Order: sequence, then C-alpha cells, then structure tokens
Amino acid sequence: MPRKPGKILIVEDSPTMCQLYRIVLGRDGTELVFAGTGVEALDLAAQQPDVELFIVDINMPQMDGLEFLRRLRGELGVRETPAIVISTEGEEADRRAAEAAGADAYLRKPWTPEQLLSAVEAVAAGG
Amino acid sequence: MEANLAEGFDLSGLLDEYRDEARGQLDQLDAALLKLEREGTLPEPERTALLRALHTLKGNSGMLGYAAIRDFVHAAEAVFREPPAAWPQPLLDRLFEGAAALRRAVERVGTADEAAALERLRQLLPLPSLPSEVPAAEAPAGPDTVAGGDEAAALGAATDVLRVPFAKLDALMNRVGDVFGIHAALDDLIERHRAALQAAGVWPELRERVELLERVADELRAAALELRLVPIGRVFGRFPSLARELAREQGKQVRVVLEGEDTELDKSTVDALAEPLLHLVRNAVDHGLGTPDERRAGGKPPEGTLLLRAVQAGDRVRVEVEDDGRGLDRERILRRAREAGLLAPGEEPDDEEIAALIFRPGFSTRHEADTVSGRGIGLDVVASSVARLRGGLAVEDVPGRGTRFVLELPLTLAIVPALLFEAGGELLALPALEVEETLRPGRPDRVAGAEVVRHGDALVPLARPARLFGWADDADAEVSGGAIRFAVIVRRGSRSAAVAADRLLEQRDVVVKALPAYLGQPPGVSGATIAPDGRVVLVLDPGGLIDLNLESHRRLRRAP
Repeated sequence: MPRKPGKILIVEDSPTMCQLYRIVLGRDGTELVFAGTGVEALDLAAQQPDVELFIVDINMPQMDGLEFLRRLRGELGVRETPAIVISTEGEEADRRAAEAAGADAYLRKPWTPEQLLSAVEAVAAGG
Repeated sequence: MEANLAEGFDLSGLLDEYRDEARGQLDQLDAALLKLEREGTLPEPERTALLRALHTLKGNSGMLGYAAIRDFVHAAEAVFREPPAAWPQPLLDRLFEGAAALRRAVERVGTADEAAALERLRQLLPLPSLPSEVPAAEAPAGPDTVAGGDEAAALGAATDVLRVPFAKLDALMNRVGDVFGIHAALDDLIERHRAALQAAGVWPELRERVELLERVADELRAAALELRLVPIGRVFGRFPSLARELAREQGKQVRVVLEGEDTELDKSTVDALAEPLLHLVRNAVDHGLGTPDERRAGGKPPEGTLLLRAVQAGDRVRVEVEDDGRGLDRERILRRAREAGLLAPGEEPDDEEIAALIFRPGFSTRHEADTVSGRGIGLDVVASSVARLRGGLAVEDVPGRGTRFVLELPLTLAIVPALLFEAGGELLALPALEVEETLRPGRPDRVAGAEVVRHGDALVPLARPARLFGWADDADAEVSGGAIRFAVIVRRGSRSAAVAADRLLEQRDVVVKALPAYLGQPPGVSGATIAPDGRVVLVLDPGGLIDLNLESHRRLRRAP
C-alpha cells in the first residue's frame, strides 16, 4: 500500500495554483509548505529536512524550477527525496532536461487531480 | 465550467483566487499594450515580465478548464515572444480588443454570463498575421497614388527627423545633471579660496568662467529637456476607445473629447501619467457617467461626455478627467467611509472633506462588487503614486452636473530647481518653484495652541521639520516655541505651510532620486539628492509636508 507523504514542499508562485494544490493534496492531513521563489525554496528545504516530496514548477521568476532542483540535489545534497517537475510545455527535450536536473517524475499542465495523485503515489513509493 | 477537475473537490475560493491573480496579470497586459502603442516597441524588462504574467495566466486558465481564455493568452504570448520590428495596427487593435475581452471573461467565470464572454474571446482568434519580414526598402507601395504619396512624403519627412532611443536621452540627462554638480562644486571651491585666488590675481577670470559654465549648463539642460518633449496626445491615445469599450460593457454610452493633446511634456511625465489616467478614466466610466436611464432621469442626454484636457500651467501640467454624470454621491461616500472605519464616531466632515475621503487608504476594497470594470484599485493608490511623482490629485464636482478629477504633475521629473536649507541639523531641499517666499519671522505666534507665522494678511501654520519628522523631542525648546531664523512659505492649492529653517543655503538644480525601496514612502519626502560636499539632502514634497503639518496642528488643537 503506497504511503502518502507527510510533508510536501511546493515551489510555485501562482496563488491560484497553490490553492489548487491545497485542494487536491491537502485533504488527508498532508502538510503542504509553499515557496514562491527558488531561493525561498532552497532555504525551506535546508531548514526542513522532513520534507518527503518536492513539487516544482519549472516556470519560476529569477531561479527557474530546474535550477532549483539542480541546487537541491547538488549544493544542498538532498538526493533521496523525490521531486515532481510541473511544466506547461511538455516537449521531450523538457522532460529529459527535468530528469537530468534530478526529477523523478514530470507532469504537464493542465493536470487532472487523478494524474497528480498518481504521480505523487508513484514517486513516494520509490517508483 | 468546462472542467478538467473532477468532482469531489471543494472548489470554493478557487475562482476568487484565479480572478484576483488574473486581474493583476491583465493589468500588466494593459500597461504593456499602452506602452507598446506609445513607443512602438515593448522594451525589456517589461516584455519579460509580461511574458511571465501571460504564461502563468495561460497555465491557470488551462487548469480551470477555460480553454477560450487559455488560447487567446497563448496567442498573445506567442506574439510577444517573437515581436515584429514594426507592429501592424490591426494586430495592435486586436490585442486591445482581446485584453478587454479577457477582462470581461475573467470577471464572468463562474457566473451565468460566462459562456457568452468565452465565446467572444474565441471570435477574436486567430490574431491578424504579421507581415512577412521584408526589408523596409523593398516594402511594396500601396495600390493607390494616395498611399504612394503618403509613403514618399513620409520618407521625405523622415530625413528631417531622427529616431533616438529614449535610453540615450536619459544618458544625456544624467550627464547634464553631472555638469550642474561639477559647477556647484567648482563654485563652492573658488568661493572658499576667494582670498587666495584674489591675491593670485586670477579671481575675476575664474569667477567669470564659472559663471559662464553655469549659463552654458542651463542652456544644455534646456536643450536636453527639449529633446525629451512628447505630446500628451500619446498618452491620451487609446483612452477614447478604452472608455467607449468599457462604457458599452456596462450598458452606458459615452463620447470622449480630448483637449490639449498637443501639449508637450517631458517623456518621463508622459510615462508617469499613463497609469493614473487609466485608473481615472475607468473610475469615471464606472462611477461618474451613469446609465442612459439614470441620465435621462436627471434631464441629461443618454450619451455621457468624458473630457480629457491637458493644460500647461507654469512648470506643471494639469490633466483633467471630467464627466458630466451626477457628481459625487456624498451619502454613499460617507457611508462607505464609516464602514471602512475611516471616521471617528460622531465625526461630521464637511462637503470638501467628504470628497477627499475617496483618496484615503482603505476607502475601497479589492473585491468591490460594483466595480464592473474588474478593477478594485483604490483612488488612494492613484493618489499616492501621483504624490510620489511630486504631483497632486484632487476632485471637484457639481452635484447633479458632473465630476472633475484634476491630476497635476511637474513638467519634468528629471531635474528640479531646489532651495537647499538646514533645519534641525539636517540638510533639506524644497522645489524652488513651489516656494512662494522666505521670511525672517522671529518668534512665531500661537493661535489655538498651534504656531503660526504672519505672511501678509494671512496666518500660515508653522512646520518645524525636526518635530514633523521626529528628529527631536516635542519637549525640546528648539522644537517648539523657540524663535526661528527663516520661514520658507510653500503652497499647494489653497493650503500652505511655513517651513522653519536654521540656515538658507542656496538654490540649485538637483537631480532628485527616489528613496531606496526599503525606506518605504515617508510622507512629505519626495526623494533625495547629493550636495556638492557629498552629503545627502532630503528633498521634501510640499504637498505632503503641508498635509503632515496640518494633521499635526489638528492634533495639537484637539489636545485638551
């Protein structure tokens, strides 16, 4: 039985998207932490080692999502915690870039709640 | 809602969040389109910021299932990603139409009018295509001789005119400011060593050269300022059709009249006017005009008139946005002000004070149900951004006949002649053109507990910077009651203040720089500049200072 993550760090600057994440992921007591910029996200990741999953929007101001991911894996050394990258483009090149940056899954917007939940369960289970 | 989201999820609040965010993104689109139309191109960093806003709006709209919104935003985004060298008018027009339709759609999602608004958006696609990139020299001539003649005339006229990027003019302006700074330093230096220079016999020549430098610097400044002049018609440009569009949406009719479009202003002022004017025009259509029925009931023609008038008055430009609606509804304003907690219980403001309430922070909220144009922005935001530019915003009305907003800005925001002085141990400056007079009043009088200075027949409230800005204790004798050496009289409209000064230094042109963002926006201060000796001079804003002072005097009078 795949375990639902206890704490998810979501890197997203759109309040609408954040609300959507709350709606879809926040139902069963999962704790959601939001960061509006890559820099803020790195700070939070460093301070909160109990984050079990990262959901990262590629399109962030200043430091984009992939850059954040690279630094998370590299400088911060957070390599075990799974990360899902969210993008609007969905080209193969994008997917490969995400994987190279250290993503465990790649989801295209617009996603349905089912797709997001499946992706979350899949990576949380180490799939 | 054409939803991608499944059942079982609590979507309340989501649409509000979406709408709120979208309003901000569409504001960016509006501002970018207006700038694009004014300047023929959208420079960085606005372009990148716009692309980001559009991209996010596209994603959000897609998530909520609003394909029509997503598709139009996507088309707009694509154009801005690879903008043409010259934007064809039909494309620009369509983008403006689209921006209005997007706003309509965003306001109507989740309501019964959603489908119609989305359909309207669909009709606006595809966007008019860009002409294939052809070098200007080979562009085909128009089929009729008129067009050919125009083109030839345009080419002929082009040889008398040079296109210069504004960035280059800005650079020139900075150099002009530098020249003034150097002159001031030189002047200071030779004065300090006057005796030695006289002894060396070089004084008369040096003095003359330094004065000549000042004259040339003045001419240089005038010439540089001339280069930057732009007719205000550029800012008015899109407002007539915007106003008509907005009115149509609200079931109102309006005819827009422009006056003074040829009034020339410094480009910095024109740029600064665009946003406040946009809000005032929106406000006039929303609250000023009135529906045809309301107007008929008031004995007016069903079509309202919106007048945009620009007048140069001395070193300032006055832009009026006037409607012929019903004027300010003072009862409604009073009610809203009480609801918003802006008035003390039992406080009964007079007519003029009620009118001024609309500019107070907190007067309007972002989620106003009756702001059909989708803008919850308060006039307080407009007023404070105008104040930051050393401008003023006021409202006049004739109940039943109409309302007039008067927006005032300096002709140029770049360089300001200023009077430098010392007060309370600090170096301060006041814009010279707003200084009426300086006096040596000795000891100030007291009227009802507040200090005043006699100026002709009038009693002018005294403003002690040290007390107003909190640099010294109220109990400090120097701060209240003590004799003052100089009083600088400033006036804004019908209000004035006598600013206490310990030393008057000099009058000189200064380049006013905005205070760094982390200092916030202290009232009464419009920016800072650097004195020749390197010290920081706080440049005061007469309007803000007068208000600050009046408030302080009011408090003193109320105290038992």
